[in-house]
Order: sequence, then C-alpha cells, then structure tokens
Amino acid sequence: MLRDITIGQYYPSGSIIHKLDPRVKIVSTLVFIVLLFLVKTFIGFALAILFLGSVVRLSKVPLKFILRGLKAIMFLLMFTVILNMLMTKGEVWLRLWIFTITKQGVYQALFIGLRLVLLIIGSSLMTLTTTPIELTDGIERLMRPLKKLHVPVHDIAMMMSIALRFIPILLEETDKIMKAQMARGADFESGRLIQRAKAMIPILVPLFLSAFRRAGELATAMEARCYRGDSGRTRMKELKYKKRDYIAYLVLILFAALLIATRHLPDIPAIIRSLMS
Amino acid sequence: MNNTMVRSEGLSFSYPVYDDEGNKQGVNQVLKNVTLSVQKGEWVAILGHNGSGKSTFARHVNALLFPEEGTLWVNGIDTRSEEQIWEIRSSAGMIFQNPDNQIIASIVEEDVAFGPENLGVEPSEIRSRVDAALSTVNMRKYADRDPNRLSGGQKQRVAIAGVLAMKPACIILDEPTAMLDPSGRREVMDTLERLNHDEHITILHITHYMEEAARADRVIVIDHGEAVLEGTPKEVFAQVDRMKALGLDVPQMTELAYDLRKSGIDIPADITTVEEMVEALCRLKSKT
Ligand SMILES: Nc1ncnc2c1ncn2[C@@H]1O[C@H](COP(=O)(O)OP(=O)(O)OP(=O)(O)O)[C@@H](O)[C@H]1O
Ligand SMILES: [Mg+2]
Repeated sequence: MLRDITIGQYYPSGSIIHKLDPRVKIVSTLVFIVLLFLVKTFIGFALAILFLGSVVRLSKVPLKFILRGLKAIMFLLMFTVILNMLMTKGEVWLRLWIFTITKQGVYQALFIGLRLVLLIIGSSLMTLTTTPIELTDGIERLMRPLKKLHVPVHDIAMMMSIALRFIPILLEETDKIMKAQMARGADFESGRLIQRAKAMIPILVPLFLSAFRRAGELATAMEARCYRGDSGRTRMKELKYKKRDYIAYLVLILFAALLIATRHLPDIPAIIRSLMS
Repeated sequence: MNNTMVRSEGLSFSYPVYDDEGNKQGVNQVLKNVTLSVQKGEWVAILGHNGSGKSTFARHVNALLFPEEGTLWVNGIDTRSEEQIWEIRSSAGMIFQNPDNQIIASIVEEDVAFGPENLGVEPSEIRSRVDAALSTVNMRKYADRDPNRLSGGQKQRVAIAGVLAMKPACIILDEPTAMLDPSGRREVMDTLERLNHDEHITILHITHYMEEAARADRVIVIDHGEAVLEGTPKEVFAQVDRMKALGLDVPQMTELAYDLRKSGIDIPADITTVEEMVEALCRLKSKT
C-alpha cells in the first residue's frame, strides 16, 4: 500500500551508528563528500573505501540495502565512466576503430566512478541509519546559528516535518483519486506524453483542493494547541552530544587528516615504477 | 462564578458574505444572542442540524474566533483578553472531526508533546505529561508508532492525549466520531467517559449521534445560531415532536417509545437506551 512508503529508507538495526546524534551523521556525510573530491591517489581511495566499509560494517545494515541506492544511478554511472575514458587526452594505450583509450582516461574514469559510488553509498548510509525526524531535528540544530541572519530555521524545520507526515497521506489520496477516475474510464497508461499529462489534470485538481483544505484544518489545529512559532517553545527531546558523538567527530578528523596527507605521498603506480627501475 | 467553566452572554457572530468579484455583499449571521453556561465537571452535548453554528460556537470557546457582540468567559477569562489567549487555549483544548488533519508529528509521542512544547514546559515535565496522557487514553504502547498506521479511533485518542498533555480543564470536541467506524466511536466515547468521570474534565461534545448525546449530563440544541432547547438528555429527547421540527432525530429507543405511546401502550416517554426499554417492557408485561 502507498501509505507504507516512508521518506528515505530507514533500516532499523539499533547499531552504534544508528545511535549517533543526527548532527554527527549529517556533518560526517558532508565532510566525507567534500573529501572525496580532494582524493587524487589510489592510496587515498583505498583509505576512503576502508573507512566507509568499516562504517557500513558497524551500521549492521545488510549490503543489499546499501547497494540498492546504486541501482538507480547505474546508467548515469556507466555513462560518466565511459565518457571519461574516451574523452580524456593523453598517453595512448589502445586504439579501437574511432576510439582511443588513454592512460589518463582510464585513471580519470576509475576515479570518477569510485567517487560517485562512494558518494552514493555514503549518503544512503546516512538515510538508512537516521529517521527522517532525526534528520530534520539535526538540520534545525545545525542551522540554528543562521537564525541571527534572519533565516527562518524553525519554520523550515517545521515545514519539513509536516511534509514528512503528510506526503504518505497525500500519496494514498492520489492512489484513491486515480482509482476513482479509472473506475470512471480514465486511462493513465496509454497515449503520448501530452495525453498522459492531460489525463493527470483530473487527479491534480481534487488533490490540490484537498491538500489546501487539509492545510487549513491543520493550521487551525496547530493554533488551537497554542502554536506560535518558536518563541518560548521548548522541546521534549533536545539533541545532546554524548561521549560516542565526540569520539565519532574525533575519528572523522583523523580520517580527514590522513586522507589529505595522502595527497602529498607518492602514489602506488609511482612506487611500483621506482621499484622496477 | 467559580464553578462555571464556560459562560456566554448574548454572544453573536457573523461571517462576511462575498459576491463573485470579492466585494462584501452582506453578512451571514451564524450565532444570535447565545446565552448559556457550562459548569465545571459537566458533560454537555451540543446538537443542531448542519450549518446551525455549532462549530462556530466551539471555535469561540477555544479563542479561534471572537464574539462580535456579547461576551464569552472561559474559566473566568474573557476570550477577548489577548494577553491570556494561550491560557484560554490550553485550558480549553479542542478536538476536531478529522483525526488526520490535527496530528502534526510523525511519531505519536512527539505529537502529544507538541502542545506542552508550545507552552514552553520543561523537557522532563513534558516527558511525564506525555506518558501520563498516553496512559489515560490507553495508547502508551503506541508511543513510538507512526500515526499514519493507526486506526481512526486510535488516532482520535492520540489527538485527545495531545490536548490532555496541556492539562486542560475543559475539552471541546467537534464531531470527534463522525469519521470513525463503530468500534472507533466506542473507543472515543469510553475515553471521554473516563476523562469526565475520573479526571473531572469538563466536556463539550458536539455530535450528530443521538446515542452519544444521551450519555451527556445535559444537552443544548442550537438552531440557526440560537440556543433553543436545553435540559437533561431525557428531558430533551422526550420532546420528540419538537426535535423533529428542529430537523433532529432522537435516539432509536426514544423513537420506539414514542411510537409505542402513540399506539396506546403505556410506557415512559424518556427512554434513551436499550436497557431502559427492556426494563420498561418487562415491567409492562409483569403488570398485565
Ligand atoms: N470560514 C467560514 N466563512 C464563511 N462562512 C462560514 C465559515 N465557516 C462556516 N460558515 C457558515 O456558517 C454557518 C454555520 O457553520 P458551522 O460550521 O458553525 O455549522 P455547524 O453547526 O458546525 O454545522 P455542521 O453540523 O455541518 O458541522 C454555515 O452557514 C456556514 O456556511
Ligand atoms: Mg461543524
């Protein structure tokens, strides 16, 4: 049923990674992504894979779920890799019909591919181990300093959490309206794109009307429960860093330092070459 | 005065009516000179046909709307005193018809915490209030569930817990069972019974179900914005002709008693439940 669709793809396993403060996970994911673009050597990638691999092991999320995120971008991944392999100029290794494959091209393709794969796995690991509510709480807390710049941090977080609650409801409603229209002979499956888009109008109109009605009722209900923005508001569960969160930050810093250090080390091919000569 | 929870005197209210161009055309007088009072700890049912102004009155009690004329006091506070609006809203909690559109969070206990969080209650105090409120409505074991996966009756009980966590003296329910199946309706009614009986919370219950109204201490009938009839359920329902003229039904058993009396059977007019009917019929049989 559509109501069972949850945003993101939380996989509860109760691991230490799950228990980490969402802020740690958000910050780490962002740092990891940035670091990936700084890696230029095989040693660096080996380190990144080792790091991500250990986190995956710690999270106790089955590999199947982790790799699922890759399926969606398989085509994009292949496309980028092949394009990079063929388009990079340099020392020619192989000539096939009109294609030339260069050494630089192979390296480039390999690095880009690895980067994309690690990036997808890293970010799906975050959503697999953090509930959407924790995520919004974490984002709200991380963005709190922006309040001084008059960014409506609380309102954004409130909107996100309301969206989380209502998207499944609206999805189910869409399903209901579609079935009702199909019972009246509407056809959503066949025809050209434009015809199909036209067929969506009888779904979107009632859907929007109902969404606006819901929004109105929800606003009244929130007001009735004394909601007045974040002035004087407290939270039942205030995010608090624990010892394990500090340790996680420490590990992250260590990893980042090591990874940056690899940029200044000779890479494996260079080592092999110097050994052979 | 100290024993009155809600008191309205000469309360009038109208919605503006607009024409197609958006110009104000006139007003739709929805409440007319409503004078009534509800005692602390009382359970009052409000009846009236569609569009009679019940919901509009309920919104006044929660200070979502304000009287145009007349005055409304909730727990001794004039609802127009703006500085005390949060006090009014937390002492007179409101439950709406659609359980989906009044649950804000995607975890049950987070939703129950929403009210006290808005009031700025201490985190530890919120925790204990949430646990207590969920226990009161028998939903403690669903604390970490997703509200989307609860039944209608369970959702409505979560909504009630959300109001309870604000420690209200009074709860106004606007057709809380209209969207529920019979078992959900029973769950909600039993919860209300417990709240009223054990926690001494005043209940203002707007309903279209006469069997539910029969469980109240007192019934107020609103017709075209006026409070036209008032009394215990038995007193009100016994006036079958008057109720029909107001476009309302009476409980099935009252109707049956009415028909039996019309055909010459000597049976009390104020029967509201099946049990009473059975008793009356047995008494009748033993007499003959
Ligand atoms: N927001 C609004 N703007 C304009 N008119 C309104 C508004 N809300 C209600 N009305 C009108 O006020 C009148 C009373 O409505 P109200 O909702 O109070 O009735 P009700 O007794 O609760 O009816 P029901 O049993 O259908 O819930 C109706 O004629 C309605 O059309
Ligand atoms: Mg109504």
